[in-house]
Amino acid sequence: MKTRQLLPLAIDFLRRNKVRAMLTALGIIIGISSVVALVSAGEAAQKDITSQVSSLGPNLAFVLPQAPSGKTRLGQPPPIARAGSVGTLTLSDADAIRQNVKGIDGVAPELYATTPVSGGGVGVNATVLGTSADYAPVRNVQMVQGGFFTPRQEELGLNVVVVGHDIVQDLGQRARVGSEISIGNRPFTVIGVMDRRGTVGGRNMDNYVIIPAQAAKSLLVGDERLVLIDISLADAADSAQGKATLAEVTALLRDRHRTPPGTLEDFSISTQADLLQTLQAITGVLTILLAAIAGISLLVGGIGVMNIMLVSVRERTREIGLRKALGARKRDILLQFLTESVVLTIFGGIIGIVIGSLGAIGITGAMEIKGGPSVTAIIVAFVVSAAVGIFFGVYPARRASALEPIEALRYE
Amino acid sequence: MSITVTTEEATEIAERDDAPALELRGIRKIYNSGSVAFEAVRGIDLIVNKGDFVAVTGASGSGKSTLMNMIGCLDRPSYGLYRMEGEEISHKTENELAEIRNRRIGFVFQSYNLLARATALENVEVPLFYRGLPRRKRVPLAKAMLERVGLGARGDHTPAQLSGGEQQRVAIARALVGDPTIVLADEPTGNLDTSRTEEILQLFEALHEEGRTIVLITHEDEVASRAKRSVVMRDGLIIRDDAQ
Ligand SMILES: Nc1ncnc2c1ncn2[C@@H]1O[C@H](COP(=O)(O)OP(=O)(O)O)[C@@H](O)[C@H]1O
Ligand SMILES: [Mg+2]
Repeated sequence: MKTRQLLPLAIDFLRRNKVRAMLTALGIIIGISSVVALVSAGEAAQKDITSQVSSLGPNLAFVLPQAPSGKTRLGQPPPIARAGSVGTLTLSDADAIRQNVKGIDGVAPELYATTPVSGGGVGVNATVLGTSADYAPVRNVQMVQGGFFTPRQEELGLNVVVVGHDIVQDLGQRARVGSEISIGNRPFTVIGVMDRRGTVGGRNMDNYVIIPAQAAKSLLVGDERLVLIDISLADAADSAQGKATLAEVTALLRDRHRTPPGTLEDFSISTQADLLQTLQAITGVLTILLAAIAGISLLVGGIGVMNIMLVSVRERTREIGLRKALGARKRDILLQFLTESVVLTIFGGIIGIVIGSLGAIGITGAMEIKGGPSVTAIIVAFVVSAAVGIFFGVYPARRASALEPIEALRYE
Repeated sequence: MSITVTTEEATEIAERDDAPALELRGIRKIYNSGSVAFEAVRGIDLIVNKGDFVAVTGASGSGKSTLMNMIGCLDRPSYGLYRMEGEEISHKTENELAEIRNRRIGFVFQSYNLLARATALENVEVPLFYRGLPRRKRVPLAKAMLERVGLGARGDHTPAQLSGGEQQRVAIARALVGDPTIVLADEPTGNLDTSRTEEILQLFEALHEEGRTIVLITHEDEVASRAKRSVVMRDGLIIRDDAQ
């Protein structure tokens, strides 16, 4: 008997037991499709975030209102738990950096106000950001209409606003340049409309309304607490010049925050390289998590295959006896059942790959990021589905092949 | 350099040529079911020559099937010597036995034992499949054999679509397709009515006339009377044998 002749035999058997084959393959289909979809989506998201971070440029640095990661102040929760929380940075910190540190092209504090926004009486879902005129060059904001506010307009304390793409879409004429919109019940004059900025880190940048920091501060009830200060350096952040500049920023802020020597500061500075490193650590953990979920679902699918193959061996005991009586060797029976389980799992794998790829396209589409099915994920999924078939098929196949011909023939 | 043939080899070759198809000496089979050992075959000597048509009869439980399964290499004797065409079988490996079953034995069972989901033609192909023949070679051989048993037009029928007699004829075609040395049939007509039995018996008679060696188990005297030689068993022993 030649091995390749077993393939038609296995396909034939599965074709004649369609419902059972489909149900058994279902476990594999679910496992493989979730692997392909999740890994592809994860890969696309990682690429997207990485390219976004890279697009910030090597000269950008961020001052964050929390202790440097990896170290915590006594009695403080670990920094990861405090990520994004609002701490100790103030607008005057940002001003001090701009005025005192050389080698800096721009400083943009980010102050967020949660106040209602409406235009012509129509409410709109918006994020209110207060910042400096430097924000536009620092974050590379492109305008489609009008312009960003100037340092002069900032100094004069004018109530001017630059609106995002979605705001114009929602409010139409009510948000065109020159009209007034209401932010926190105060009238602001629209002076510019930003081009599409997309979603960054899960945040939609197109529903932003951007106003001068002082105006935002006056909308707030309590103290102003900055989420972030963006600093655009004259040199790359990881160059000697850039590092020296950032050391100066650190010294200045330590001084302003009266941080005693030898203790940890209550802020931290991170650069593009730091962010990429952090992201890689996070995606690394996510990948392991996904792999574990995928592994468990494949394990469950594989056990399903083994279970059905054992049932199949039992049901076909007489057939096995007969085949042996007609000249099948141990190896022939072993390979027959092994081929069946592998064909079953590869069949499930291929369907899973198709569904998973569609899922990946759907997920990345919903996340509005580029990327489709991951080739690596597809190749790995295919190999894994075949391996599952072998691993979980060997035991039932061995049981089948070990049957004595006469015992098997007598089996009722 | 001259080619020398040892005496041992020479005898073996001679043995091969005019050795009996089957030679059983002191064959015993002991079943150990649980704590009780039961001796189903208790010492059988039997020689079947090439071209013989032997009927084995005896009451139910007399050990006929046990004997037949050992002859057919489906089961191993507990004791005794078994030679097929002069070749010692007792110490063959499992794979060698599979090869013997495949090439030298054609087995016909009482309950037909066809693959239920396969067609008649596919059933007949099975022994050739395990011989490693590709499909394009199997199909014509299997078709010819189905025609030989009068079922040339039913090749694409499944067993469920065939009568008992037709199923047994498919099984006979399957037993013959590999051109075996010996055809073994364990109560092949046990499940059939008289006229179907007659068809099957005529088939066996025709095979005998072609010179095939046949051993047929039956408990029906009419069936036994059609064979050229009758062997009777009782309690695991042969109590009568025409040839002696
Ligand atoms: N696998 C087995 N285990 C134990 N006893 C068996 C087995 N097969 C057959 N026997 C016993 O051996 C005896 C002979 O059986 P069998 O060869 O089938 O007889 P027959 O075919 O002549 O009716 C019977 O008593 C039967 O119960
Ligand atoms: Mg019997």
